Order: sequence, then structure tokens, then C-alpha cells
Amino acid sequence: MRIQDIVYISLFAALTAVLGLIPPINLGFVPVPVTAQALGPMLAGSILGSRRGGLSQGLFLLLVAIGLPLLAGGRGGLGVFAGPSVGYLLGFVLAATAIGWATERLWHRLGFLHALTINLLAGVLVIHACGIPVLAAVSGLGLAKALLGSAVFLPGDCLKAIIAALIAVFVKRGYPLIDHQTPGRSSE
Amino acid sequence: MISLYIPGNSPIHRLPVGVKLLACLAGSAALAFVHSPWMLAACLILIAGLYVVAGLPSNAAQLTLRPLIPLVCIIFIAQVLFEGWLPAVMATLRIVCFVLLAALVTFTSSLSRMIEAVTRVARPLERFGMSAPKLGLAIALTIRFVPALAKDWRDVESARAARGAERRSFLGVGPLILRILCMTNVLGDAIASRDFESRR
Repeated sequence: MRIQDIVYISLFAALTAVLGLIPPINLGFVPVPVTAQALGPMLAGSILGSRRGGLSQGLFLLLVAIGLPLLAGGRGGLGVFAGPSVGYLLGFVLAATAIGWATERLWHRLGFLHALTINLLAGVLVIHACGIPVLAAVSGLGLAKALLGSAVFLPGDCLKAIIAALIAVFVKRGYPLIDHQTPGRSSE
Repeated sequence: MISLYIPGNSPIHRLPVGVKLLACLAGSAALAFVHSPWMLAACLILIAGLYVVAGLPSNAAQLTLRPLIPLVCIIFIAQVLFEGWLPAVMATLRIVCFVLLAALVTFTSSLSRMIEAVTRVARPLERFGMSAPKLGLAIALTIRFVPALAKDWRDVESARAARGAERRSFLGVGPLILRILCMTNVLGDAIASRDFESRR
């Protein structure tokens, strides 16, 4: 792995942390404030591709685990990984990898609608698919109720997918980082 | 960058990080098998005792648990409604125990010792393509980048405000990404020119 790639991975890990520092905004029609943090894995996957994107999110979680308060609301430390919402965090790594994988496959044809679909299916869906079973298991609530409970986050997450898709297409035009010669492999 | 570490010189602070991590894992695994509310309460008191031994300020535990309150409340209410009082109390106690135990490791281990522990774990993984020095570099870079990017974000926001943006939104993320992409080449060259590759 080149030094450049390590810099990209570190920068997007830091970006995910800074997105958590941004004060949450209220959409008005949803009861929970929306934090920007889940934009991190979406952007990392869409811009860096699967390998570097996934690694950047893994690095972000590693820093949270060793005690840095980088999660939205200043949370961090190992306690977070023992809590009921740990599945969503692990979902960050998987989502970035999945988004990156799909983005690499569709790279030549990638437009806003493609990017949006990728970020919704491989991003929002994957994060919730990782988070909900863990929440259900730890809390003993059962899948259906956990599913219902996390529905309040859906409008905010869809908004984030739209923003991520806009930025992904914008960056693809002006500063492409995913190699188009060899689809499936990040630029080496 | 401020870590959640609380400096001290208790026996728990002095334990090697690896030992603490393993003990925490073993403790959490054991907690999963405790099925009596009284035993769980005893575990909670035991963990609270460890906090006292570590000499942590009383707000340390509060700080850890406060963000959990809304979620735990929802879980508790749902459990009471669907499962009854006893499972509700047990689920809540267990979550609190898990989180407090793990947070104890964080509170008593300094960032540098944590990074040491991580790179030590990474070293045997080198045969699988992992590079401990590169992991160390990535950790150090990220810790440095967080305040730098936070400042960039404030710049972008004040520029937006100067142009008359009234509503807060996440649209400033776009310009922030551009700054990141522009930074990378310079930073990569700077690190490469310091001969990082051949020094390891």
C-alpha cells in the first residue's frame, strides 16, 4: 500500500470523526436530531473504493476503541463497543466496503441515480442490517420491535445518502480516485 | 486531541493494557451467563468497587452512562411491556455492567499505551499483509487530522455564513472534501520524502 493511500485512509477516518463533531440538525418532521456521522462511511466508500474505504472506517473504529471521543456527542472508548448500538458502528466498515465495491463496478456509468441507489442499498440498508440484529439481541427486544425503533433514523439516513451521492458524482468528475482501467481494484 | 483517559496511579492503572483487555473480555463473556438479577446486581457492585479502586472521579461512570440513558429507557419500557419486570431489570443491569466494565479499561489506559498495545497485536499479523509501522503512522496521522479538519469545517461554515446562508445543513461537507483531496498529495509527498518506507 502506498503512502498516499495511508494518507487517504487517515483523512477519511478523521473526516468521519469531524462529521460527528458537527452539531446535529433537526429536520422538523422526525423526533430525533440527525447527525452527520454516517456520511463518513458513505463518502469513504464512494470516493476511495472498497478497500481504502473499508480500512478508513476500521481505523476510525480503532481510534474510538482506544479511547478517543470521536463518536457523535463526544462518545468513545471501549464502553461503546459493549453497548447496544455497537452493530451500527460495525456496519460502518461493512457499508463503506460494500459502497466502494458497487461504486467500482459501476464506475464508468456512475451518475447521481446510480450513486444514490448504491448509498441507499449498500449504505443505509447495510448499516441498519448490521445494527438492528445486534440491538435486538442485546436488548432482548426481538427483531420486529428493534426494526420499528430504528425507523425514526430512516429519513435522516436517506438525506445523508442524497448528500453522499451528490458529492460522490461531483468528486468523480473533478477528482476521480477509483481507477477506471481496472474496475474492481483501487488505484495502485 | 483529548482522550477519555483519566490519569492515575492505582493498581488498575498500572496493569498492562493487554491484561486489562483480556480481563474485560473474560468478564463480559462471564456476564452473559449470569441469569439471576441478584448476581447481576452483585456484579454491578463489584464493578463499582473497581471504579473506587481505580480512584476514578464519581462523574466518570455518569459520563459513560448518560448517552445510553434514552436507549436503555426505551429498552426497559419495551421489556416491561412485553416481557415483564424481571427480564427488564436484568437486561438493563447487564447492559450497564457491560458498558461500565469496558469503559473502565478506557479510563485507566493512556492513549500511548493503547497505541502500543495495538501495534503489538499488529506485529504478528504482518505475515497476512498488515504492517505495524504503517498502522502506527495511520493512527498518528488521523489523530493529527481531526483538529485540522475540524478547523477546515469551521472555515467552510463561516464562509457559508458570510455569503448569507441562514439554514444550517450538511452541504459544507462538499468543500471540506475538496480540501481533503487537495491536501493528500502534499502530505503524501512530505511523508515519502522523509523516507518512511525504508526506515521500517
